[in-house]
Amino acid sequence: MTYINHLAKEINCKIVYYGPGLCGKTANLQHIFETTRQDAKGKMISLATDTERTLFFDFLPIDLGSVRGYKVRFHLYTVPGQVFYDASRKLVLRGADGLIFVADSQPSRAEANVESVENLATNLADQGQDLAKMAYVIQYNKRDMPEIASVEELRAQLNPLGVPEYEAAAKNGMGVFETLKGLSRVVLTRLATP
Amino acid sequence: MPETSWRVAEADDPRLAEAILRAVGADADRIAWIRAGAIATIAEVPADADAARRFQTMLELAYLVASADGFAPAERVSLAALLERMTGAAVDHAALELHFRDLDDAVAALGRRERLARAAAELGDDAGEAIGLVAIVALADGHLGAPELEALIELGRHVGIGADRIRSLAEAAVTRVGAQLR
Repeated sequence: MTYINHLAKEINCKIVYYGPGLCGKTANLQHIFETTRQDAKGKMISLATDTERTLFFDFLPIDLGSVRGYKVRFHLYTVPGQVFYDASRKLVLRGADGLIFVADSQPSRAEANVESVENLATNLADQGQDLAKMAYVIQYNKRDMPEIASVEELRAQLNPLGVPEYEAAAKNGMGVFETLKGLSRVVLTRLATP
Repeated sequence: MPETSWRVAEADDPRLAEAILRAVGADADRIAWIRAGAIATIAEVPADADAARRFQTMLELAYLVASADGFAPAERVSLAALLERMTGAAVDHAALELHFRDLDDAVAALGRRERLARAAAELGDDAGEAIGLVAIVALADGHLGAPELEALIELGRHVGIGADRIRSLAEAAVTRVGAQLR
């Protein structure tokens, strides 16, 4: 649910990073945060209670320009992948304009990836949304690890919808902006379509 | 038990807006930055981006606190009218009412707690002063209730100000507006 701040002349888009525990969602956010100009971003905020935890920040991607004279501000959100944070994951999906599923490329995490992508579809369906209709891309992360599944294997397990997919090693920044830019294109195309 | 709810006047009391404006206007510097921030906000290219950000943060915090117990149409109108006067009409009440609707959408999409934390992160060394101002503005309907106080306390938590201090800031706001009504 894109919302417009008419006073600040900004279109605000919520992007959610989703994926199993320790797949590198936070590393994606941290890399974007650390490499974004100070005056173009808000603070990184971690909100935590006993049962909920959310990490987020917002920024104005300078290279995106404007849509109908309004600047575009992205709000990047993530939640822990651990099973017991499911309530947080449901909440964070509310109002999302775009989703990035971060998969762990290591074969030992194949099951966790599949469970998480199924959990994503279920949590969206609980809110009356359909993953196939969302602005959605997949990132195959941890490509720098010694043992990794091939992209073809990961695609077969995780990408039946055939959405755009990106390889990454978020810890060192590889593929992080490519993934975000890929999703941005989808989100902005939808925004620009009347 | 400490008080958690105060009423200084009925919502339709014609003296209320004037009393709040006088309570805020008692500090000339405060009125100056509010007006400078409002002018910077509506400028095509803000000459002072910090002032614009500070003003927008104050607006969002006022909205988040005032709407903590719901935000009736009459309350929106009175808060917008009050803020219009506070800005020296730099931003008119229609733009402010539209902004409140935008903030409704922001809360729906991004979460109320998240927006409160985000706005709190913009507060600097003068967070106590900003919270006091928000408490005064939240009296636009003549009432500061327990949910609004809770929102102020949550805001205080984000900036390292304890609940007792927040309660005294709220009481001070009530006292200042109350004194202007007498």
